[in-house]
Amino acid sequence: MVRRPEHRSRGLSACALIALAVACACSAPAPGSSPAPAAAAASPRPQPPLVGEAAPPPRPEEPKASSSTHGDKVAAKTAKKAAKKKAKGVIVSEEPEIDRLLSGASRDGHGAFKGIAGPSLGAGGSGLTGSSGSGTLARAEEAPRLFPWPPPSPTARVAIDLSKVSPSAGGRTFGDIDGFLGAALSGAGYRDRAWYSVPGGFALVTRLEQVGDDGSPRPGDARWSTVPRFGSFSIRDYLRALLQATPGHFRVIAFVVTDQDFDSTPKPMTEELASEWAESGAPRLPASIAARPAGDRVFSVALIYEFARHRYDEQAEFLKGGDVPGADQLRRSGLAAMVLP
Amino acid sequence: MSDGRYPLALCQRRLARLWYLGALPPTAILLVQTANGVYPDASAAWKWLLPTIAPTLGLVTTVLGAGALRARQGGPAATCDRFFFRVTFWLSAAYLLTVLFTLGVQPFSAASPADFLKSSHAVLGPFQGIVATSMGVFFAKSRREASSPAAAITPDRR
Repeated sequence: MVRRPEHRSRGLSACALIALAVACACSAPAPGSSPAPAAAAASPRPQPPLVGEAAPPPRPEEPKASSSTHGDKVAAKTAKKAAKKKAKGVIVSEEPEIDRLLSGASRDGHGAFKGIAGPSLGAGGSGLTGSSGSGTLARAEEAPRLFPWPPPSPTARVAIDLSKVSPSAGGRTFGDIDGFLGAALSGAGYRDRAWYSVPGGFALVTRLEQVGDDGSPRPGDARWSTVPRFGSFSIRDYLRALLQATPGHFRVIAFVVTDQDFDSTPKPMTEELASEWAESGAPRLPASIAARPAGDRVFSVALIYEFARHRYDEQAEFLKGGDVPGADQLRRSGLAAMVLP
Repeated sequence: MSDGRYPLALCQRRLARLWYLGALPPTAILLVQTANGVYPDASAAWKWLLPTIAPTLGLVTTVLGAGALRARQGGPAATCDRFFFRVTFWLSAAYLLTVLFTLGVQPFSAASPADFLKSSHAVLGPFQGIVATSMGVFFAKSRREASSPAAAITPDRR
């Protein structure tokens, strides 16, 4: 069979028409259909989202508004960040360069800076700051504030006799009083102590210790045990524990030296807070406080916080009132030199 | 007391004495502890002690009481093996000491007194089973024998 040439040309033109029609149909979007990706990529203007479709994320490189509006938003963002930082207790400077430098310094979890000593670090009154080994340089300058202040109501309160403090050449200072207290406490076996700043002075807190029923410290390692233990085994103690199940008694002493009167807060004292007092705090009395003169208005009070706990209790119970007077407790603990006769 | 055998009545009396005396200290300790409020729930402590010693004490008392009321009968007395009596005696003594020890080590335990007593059942339970079995040979079996005059623990009636 021989095909005629006019037939071939007619077929070619028909194919060309069909191809043209298909091409037109592809380039023009049909109503209700999504635009072709290639066409969308090629188009410089963003395609408006259709109904029922999520809006595409804005491109970061695209300018959203005029340059002046963008600058205002950035400034507002920076101000918001600064306000947040201030609320957390972080030092924020207004100058961007200083802020950048401060951001480069390491911070501990409480917002205090390591390596940058500054005043009133941790003295915000918002809690124990600079705890657990952070901010040691800051502590050397200023002790963290005793929290809470005024202190919780103690089990017993004893006035300390400061007449035996030997003053320095220039007059009595807080350092002299600290030396007097420290010498007495060291002689009585209180090696672990923590210092805090309080309004008008300082506070010295001893570690949580286990004491006997008469207020004398338990002998040996049992003294620093946080669970009730026999100091040295005796039949009497054993029978008491077996037949009476008497709880172990624990105690924390906070020596407050200040020239300002203070009351106690109704906030309840807890064993956790007592332990935190002893573990946190400055390792020594800051030099800035030690050098301050301690006039006649300065007085000292020992606040004794007692707890009772059975060996199977999860938490110790704070004793609002004790059987043994505070002065007797101090005398039996080797601190008779502090107590007024 | 010949041929390695003891009269049954003698064995019963010795075991009864051991159990009465052995039950006294733990009972006294628990009484004082209850009076002093050692246990927040004292009934839990008594629920521990009473099943520990009361069943055996009850059995001993019952058998002794039945023997006391029984009319004296002629004929040879029942006997028991000396070795078995000694085993029972020392098992009972060890068990009663364990009960006393359990109460006594409470001050050294980190658990609460009631929880500690409850956990001691794991040791005391099997021990009590062994002791009760051996005691039953002397007391429960003899009670049955008493009701049938032709029998005894061992046929020592020649």
